[in-house]
Amino acid sequence: MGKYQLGEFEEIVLLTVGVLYGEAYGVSIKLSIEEKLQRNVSVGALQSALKRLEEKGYVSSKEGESSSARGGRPKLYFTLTKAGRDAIEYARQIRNELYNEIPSIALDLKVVG
Amino acid sequence: MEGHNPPKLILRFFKWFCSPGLHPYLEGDLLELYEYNIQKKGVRKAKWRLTLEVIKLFRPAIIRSNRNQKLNNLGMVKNYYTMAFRSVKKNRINTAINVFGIAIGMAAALLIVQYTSLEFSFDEFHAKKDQIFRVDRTVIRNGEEARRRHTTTYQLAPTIADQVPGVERYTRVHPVGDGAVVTYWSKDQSQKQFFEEEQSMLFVDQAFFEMFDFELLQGSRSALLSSSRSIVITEEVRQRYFPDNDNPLGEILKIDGSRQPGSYKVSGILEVLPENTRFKKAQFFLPMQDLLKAEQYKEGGGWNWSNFVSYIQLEQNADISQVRSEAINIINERNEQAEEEADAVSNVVLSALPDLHLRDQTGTAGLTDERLQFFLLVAFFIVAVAWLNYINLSTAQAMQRAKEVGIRKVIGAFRSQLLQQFMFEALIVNVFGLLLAFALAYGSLPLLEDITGKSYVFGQGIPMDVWILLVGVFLVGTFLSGFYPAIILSRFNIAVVIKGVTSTRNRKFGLRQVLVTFQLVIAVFLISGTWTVYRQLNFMQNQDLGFEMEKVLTVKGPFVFEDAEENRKRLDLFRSELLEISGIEQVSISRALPGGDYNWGSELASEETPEEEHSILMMMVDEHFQDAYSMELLAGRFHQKELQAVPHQIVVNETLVKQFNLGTPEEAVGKRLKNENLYFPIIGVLKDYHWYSLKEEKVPTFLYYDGAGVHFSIKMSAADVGASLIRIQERYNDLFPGNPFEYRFVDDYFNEQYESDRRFRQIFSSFSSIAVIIACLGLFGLASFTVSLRVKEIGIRKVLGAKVFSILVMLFKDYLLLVVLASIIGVPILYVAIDRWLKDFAYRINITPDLFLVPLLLLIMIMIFTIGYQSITAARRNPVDSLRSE
Repeated sequence: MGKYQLGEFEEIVLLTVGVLYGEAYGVSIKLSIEEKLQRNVSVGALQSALKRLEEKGYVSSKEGESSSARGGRPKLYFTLTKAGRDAIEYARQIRNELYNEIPSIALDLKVVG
Repeated sequence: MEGHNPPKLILRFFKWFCSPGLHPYLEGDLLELYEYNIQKKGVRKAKWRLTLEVIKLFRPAIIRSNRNQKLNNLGMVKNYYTMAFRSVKKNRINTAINVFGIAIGMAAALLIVQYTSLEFSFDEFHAKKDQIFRVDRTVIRNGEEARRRHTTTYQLAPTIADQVPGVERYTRVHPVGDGAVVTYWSKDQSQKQFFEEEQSMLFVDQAFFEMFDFELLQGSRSALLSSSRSIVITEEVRQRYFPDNDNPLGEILKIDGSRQPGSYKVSGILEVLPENTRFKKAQFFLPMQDLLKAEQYKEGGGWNWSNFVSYIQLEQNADISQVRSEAINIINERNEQAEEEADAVSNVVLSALPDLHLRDQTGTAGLTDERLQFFLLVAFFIVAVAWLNYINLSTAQAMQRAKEVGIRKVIGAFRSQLLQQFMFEALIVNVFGLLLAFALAYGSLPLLEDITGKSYVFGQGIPMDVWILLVGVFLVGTFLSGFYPAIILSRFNIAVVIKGVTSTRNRKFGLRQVLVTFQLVIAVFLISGTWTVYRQLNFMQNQDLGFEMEKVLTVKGPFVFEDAEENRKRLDLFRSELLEISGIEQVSISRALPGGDYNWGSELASEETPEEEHSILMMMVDEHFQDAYSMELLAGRFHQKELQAVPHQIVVNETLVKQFNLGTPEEAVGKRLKNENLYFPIIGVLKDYHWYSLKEEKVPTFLYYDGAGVHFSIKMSAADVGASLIRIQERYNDLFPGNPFEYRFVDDYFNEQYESDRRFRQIFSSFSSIAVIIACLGLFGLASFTVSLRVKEIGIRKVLGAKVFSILVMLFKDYLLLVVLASIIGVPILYVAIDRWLKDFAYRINITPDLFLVPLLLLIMIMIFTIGYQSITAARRNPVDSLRSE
């Protein structure tokens, strides 16, 4: 993965940002990951992942509208950048290649086991 | 929505650490989630979740970075540094006072801590220290406990170990009486010979080395002293006797004198005993079994002679009170077999090993817990005085720096920044002081060793928690002493300051006066304390003891001789030869010396009232003893060599006559004392004498006739003592070859009993003077500053016709008032403290006003001296100089 550095959790966050297209901000990302993966995500972990992704240039952020529901605080929306799309592509490609190289016997054994 | 509000504190905490760029969005997210969770899981869970999330947000990516601020700060700190050094340079004297005051104070405190740490750690290093107890005994007579004794009979410890469950082992300890001469003949017949002091040789049981953790260099621990005539020595002894032999196991040391003279085979070598053990003086250990072979111990089955110190080691979970009551039972059984004593009950006390050094209940302890704690308090006072100096001097000078503060404020400094600046200055002064303190303390360690007679390794032996405490006190003290001046300095009103109003409002009783008073109270307390200790010691040493010993020289009798009969003759010969030397008035031979041990102690009754027993001490002396010590005879006669037909004649002291109700001295002569079937006819009564120091009550004693002692007491006239001494030594060496000539003056010997008190005095007075000096330094700085502020006032007063004297009075008045106030506060505290301290002494000075007045006068004199110079120069100045420039 020399070109694109992406951790497992970062990858999920990046994908979710893409899925939520235009609606991706802290709470929505968190809830949708929790729903999909059935695991708890802390705001802290999520935010530091987003910060890292932004520093790598995979996502960009912009301030959105504020509402009274959030104590008058604005949302910070994230969108995928071109580099972010490339990173996802790259990660997916690597995975596919690796999957295809698994000898079929290994997959059969799994069925037996 | 009441109760649905998110916890404010948590959010504030979040705001505090969160980086400002992220904060609004994240808080928004958190609040949204909070609402969401309220709907889904309820308020309580939502709050809990929020808290958890905030805690989890406390991570590097989220926490505000303060890189920019840091850069900024560094610049400011640099500036603070510059300013601090400028102000240091500008006020050289005050800085010196502060830094040196703090340095001296902290150095003194460090030394005190070093000293007390060692004393507190006595015998704490033995692994089994909590299981080891000394068996003390006492008698309860009519419900009152008689004086405790730390010695027992030699059969008691083995019997307890044998019969009482829970007692693992025991050891008895018995010093070699009177010391001994030890000789080593090497193979080439060269000889090494030294005189060894009484306390340096101990007879002990084999278990001694298993109970106490003394490091063994050579030999096997379980085999030490297991065989008769073996000996264990310390490394120090090895170096003296076998300087070239690293492994002297099996070598033979010959011991002359002592209870069991003979040849002993070296079976083990111990590392030099550490400073913090009660056995520190011991250098030779001999088998107890050899001591017990002595003829005198054969009778009575081991229950007659009670001069053995017994230590027992209990099993880990043994019940101490159980062991104690069983031990009492054992003693009572013995007593019933021996003799009934109607109204007295024997009692046993088990004293824990670590308590023996500072909390010994048997005898007059020189050093106690209380005294050590008191020293620590003094240490704190000394440092506190130095800090108070800092506070006083820096607030007094606040006005000088007002302009700087004003400018800083105008430029935009916050008050917190100004606080920081001045605290920083305090820190610099304190850190420099601390560094200097370490150097000073290190350099003056030899002085401490001199005063206390112990050796120290700098910084070693101070436990970790004490270090932590010290660091804590340093930080808190530095903070507090820096904080108050910082507050004062930073609160100036800009407008007022820039306008140039520089009045130092000298309130009649501001904080500065309170602090100075406090310092003076400490000074009064310490000076008076020192004075009292000095007076009491002086009193004890100059009191009429009932005998004169100033010009009495004592020489140890011979320990090495071939034939006892021949030796007896030589003793007489030596005596008569000495009497021929001009300047020698009398020579006496005795087994005991004033201030030294007694020879025999027992419970006696008078013949008339045989049921009333009192304990007495007996000393064995010859017929010249009274003359040698110029004792006064009240009735009857002293011992005479020719009049020994009636056995067991005794000469008693007044105290004995009183305690036994024998009437007047004249009536007492002819009466007899009785112990079982021994009768002691009284032939004379001596005016009361203090056999022991004045710390102790007089005890009933009597002198018993015995012509063969081990101590010569030589009374000299004032003539040339040095020349006489040389001739005495010549005679001694002629008559007693092979014996080292050991002499000393009896008053030195006697006054050794005050050793611990003298040490106390020296430590106390040294540290008191340090405290007073530091306080004076501060006063000096303060006075010179206030005088400089009043130069104009003095000028005007002089122009208007004031005399120098009246100006001096004006300048001194304030300080003298504070001194008076300080003594009013100090005297009651002092009274309690002095009273408490004097209670340790059986004979003591009365608490008279001069104990307080003399120190007070001294303090006033020191003060006038301290602030006098500036005051006089200021008062004598020509007013023209001070008034022309305005």
